[in-house]
Amino acid sequence: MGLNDWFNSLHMDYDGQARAEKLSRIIILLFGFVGFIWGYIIQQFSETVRILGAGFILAAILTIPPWPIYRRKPLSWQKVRPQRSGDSDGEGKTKKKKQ
Amino acid sequence: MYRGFERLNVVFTYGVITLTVCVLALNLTTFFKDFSRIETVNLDFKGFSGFIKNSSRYPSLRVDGSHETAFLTLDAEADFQSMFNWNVKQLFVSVVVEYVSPMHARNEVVVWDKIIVREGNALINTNKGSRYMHWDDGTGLRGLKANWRLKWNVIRNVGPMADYQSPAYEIEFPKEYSH
Repeated sequence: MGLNDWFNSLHMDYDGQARAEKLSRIIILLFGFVGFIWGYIIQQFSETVRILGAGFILAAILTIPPWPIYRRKPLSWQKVRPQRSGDSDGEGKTKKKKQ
Repeated sequence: MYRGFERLNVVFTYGVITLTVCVLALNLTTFFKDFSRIETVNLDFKGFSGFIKNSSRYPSLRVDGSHETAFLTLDAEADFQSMFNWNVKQLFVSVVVEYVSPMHARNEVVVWDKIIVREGNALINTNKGSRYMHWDDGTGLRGLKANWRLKWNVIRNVGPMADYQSPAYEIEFPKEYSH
């Protein structure tokens, strides 16, 4: 299942998560503020709610799917170290038997 | 924030919190509006005519002379346009007749009402006759002096509902029955 593995491997790294959350909050706050001012000017609160809803959809599109820009700084894991023969119990037992 | 559903949850919650703040701010901007006076085109209880019958409106009830009905034609005009702002959903306007009768210390009868929605026509004119028959459960309506008022109830989107009324206007019922 190559597609499933690819889908499950899309994770944002920590720096990307922080940026995504900050961006979503800024977008929603901005749309809420502008929507409130516009609703006050035309004296219709329904327009305020609609503008805020549009801001939520925009923030959702930009920050929820794991876009590549949020995966630019993956954690640098150490490389897998090959096991040396003297350290492992299994290897030692095998060697004794061979002697 | 590691999975998509967590991000959806966080973003949606933040949106709802922002909406709550907008609603509270809406309430704050319209909190101090004074609804108790109307700048009227003509709040004038101009004409009054009516007839009283010593009978029931509904033929199925016994006609025993124990109660009276009246049909009043009032003529009042008012303009409620200044009551509306973005926090007012609708107004409930009614005309009431208040009087004292031998059976009750205080009577208040609604003879006309109307719901004015915000997009609707805010001018009212009651001269087409009352909407509801004026009922009384005694026989003291002939020649009675009563008070006549306009009342309005402001229904807001956010905030409390409140009742307001106009000054009273004196009327006198007809002195004789009509048939």
